[in-house]
Amino acid sequence: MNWALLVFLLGFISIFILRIPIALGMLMTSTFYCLVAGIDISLVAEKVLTNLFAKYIIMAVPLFVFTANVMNTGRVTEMVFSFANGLVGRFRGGMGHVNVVASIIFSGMTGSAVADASGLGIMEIEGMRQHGYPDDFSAAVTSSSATIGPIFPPSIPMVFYAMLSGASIGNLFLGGMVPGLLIGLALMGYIAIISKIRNYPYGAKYTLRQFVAYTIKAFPALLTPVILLGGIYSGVVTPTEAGALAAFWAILISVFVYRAMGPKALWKVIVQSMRTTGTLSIIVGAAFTFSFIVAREHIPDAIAGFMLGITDNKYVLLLVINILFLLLGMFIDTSTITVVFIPMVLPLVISLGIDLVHFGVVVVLNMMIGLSTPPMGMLLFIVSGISDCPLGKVIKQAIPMVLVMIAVLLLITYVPDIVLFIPRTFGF
Amino acid sequence: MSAEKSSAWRRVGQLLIDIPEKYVSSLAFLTLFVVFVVQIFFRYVLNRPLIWPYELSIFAFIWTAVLGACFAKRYNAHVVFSLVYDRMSPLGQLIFRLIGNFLIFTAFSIALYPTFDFVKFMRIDKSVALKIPFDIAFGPYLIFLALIIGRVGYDLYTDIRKLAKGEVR
Repeated sequence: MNWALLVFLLGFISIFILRIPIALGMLMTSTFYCLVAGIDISLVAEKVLTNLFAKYIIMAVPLFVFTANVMNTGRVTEMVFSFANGLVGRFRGGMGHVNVVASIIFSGMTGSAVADASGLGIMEIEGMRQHGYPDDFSAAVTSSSATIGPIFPPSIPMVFYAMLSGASIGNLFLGGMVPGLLIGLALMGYIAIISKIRNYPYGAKYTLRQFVAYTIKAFPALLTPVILLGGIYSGVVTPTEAGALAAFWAILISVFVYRAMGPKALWKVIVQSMRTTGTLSIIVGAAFTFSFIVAREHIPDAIAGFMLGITDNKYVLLLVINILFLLLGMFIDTSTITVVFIPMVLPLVISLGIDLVHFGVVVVLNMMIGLSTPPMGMLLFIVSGISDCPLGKVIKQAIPMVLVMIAVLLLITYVPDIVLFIPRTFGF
Repeated sequence: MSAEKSSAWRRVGQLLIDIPEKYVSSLAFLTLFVVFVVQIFFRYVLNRPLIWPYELSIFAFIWTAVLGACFAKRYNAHVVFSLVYDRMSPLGQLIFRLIGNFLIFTAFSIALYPTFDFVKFMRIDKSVALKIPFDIAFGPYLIFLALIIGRVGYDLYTDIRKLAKGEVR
């Protein structure tokens, strides 16, 4: 009997049953495992610290978090929303389209769905409410459009994935572009059909002069994704440095152009970003110890052997993995899935010859869909809270949009070129 | 002890926790950001790449990560899976919390001394550019362990009191 493995599995299960904070639970389980396996307990700290020290790329995460928080505190979010309104607000169901387009633009500045839903989302829901849209529909559109955040570059989950899989972060970002836009277009198509059926209103029409005025006002904000992505792909900065550059630019325009941020607000944003960094980074650090144990006990090999025993058809296995991660995403937080469960299936993915950039984009989209899928989708809780609309009503409206997103997920799963086309064009 | 004295002690205690958890970690975060901007400026504007910002940003990141994790615990902001817990009665939830906190308390207490040894051992290694010993870079992890032991210990104490007084059913 492998007692150490038994202790590990019991510890792992207790995290989910007893509601132990995941990061602390992983450190706890690893400590007990080392104790029973006769390994020096200091290995836990060693794995956490040396890996956080060595994985330079992870530092993009606090910087992207910081950028998102600055954007939501300064008037940058408001400018993005006004610009999107001028662009697509005039159509039937205009505010729904504005919601999606604003989220696409915002997703080019930050890499977090939660930052989108909780910052820009307030404005989107209020805007739709003022135009007479029911709150449940507005909230559902907001949670669905927020999923684009980490698919279109930059992306915090993709940084985690790149760190764990060794896939190029630059290629992952490029690979997310078309799927991000596809999700946006699919949602806009759905909104257009529903708006016609339910007779949702047309938005305000702006003259060219008004639109130009909005664009000029929003221009500094709109430059953020250009600086970020242009910086990365022109080779001027690394993806990590691009996070710092985007945050620096966001502070500059929030303080000097939009005059919406003083020293007090900036300190508040720093403290908030530090807290989020602590939450995310300690999960990643703890996961390194966990991954060491998972590898030591040959768990990924056991999973690969089990799955390959069922079938060795790559397309069937991709479907199985998709369903598995969709189910996990319905119940478990994205960061936990990324750092705990993805490494368990990576050897299988590699043995099947699936491209790691393709798989990364598929799995990130998959997890983002999980974020707005009942019963535990975090985005649904956020938008339900913002809109003061009961969760059950939001879920009812969100389900068809989730199905639309699953259709896009299947499309990019089985047509890898949709993901790989742009990275290849850039010489991948 | 008078109420005034006890409140003064409480304030001192809070400040002692705030210094590493809130102020040092926030300053570490700010350092991480500023150092990145300096690095970009020197490399691409002045065409003079520097090594020290790279080192300092990594150390600042580790400090932010582990001390920020303590700060997140103060607000119970850590990621949890609560589907089972939420379906329990208040008494069941209290028992779950007791077991969970006891497990963390025990594991972190067991890990404290070996981790101290590891951090102390790392003193022999120094960073290349700034010559910062690694025990300083990794030291906050010990503060993290100690503060988490303190926090879950306090939670254990309050939950045991609630159980003893029969406040939760």
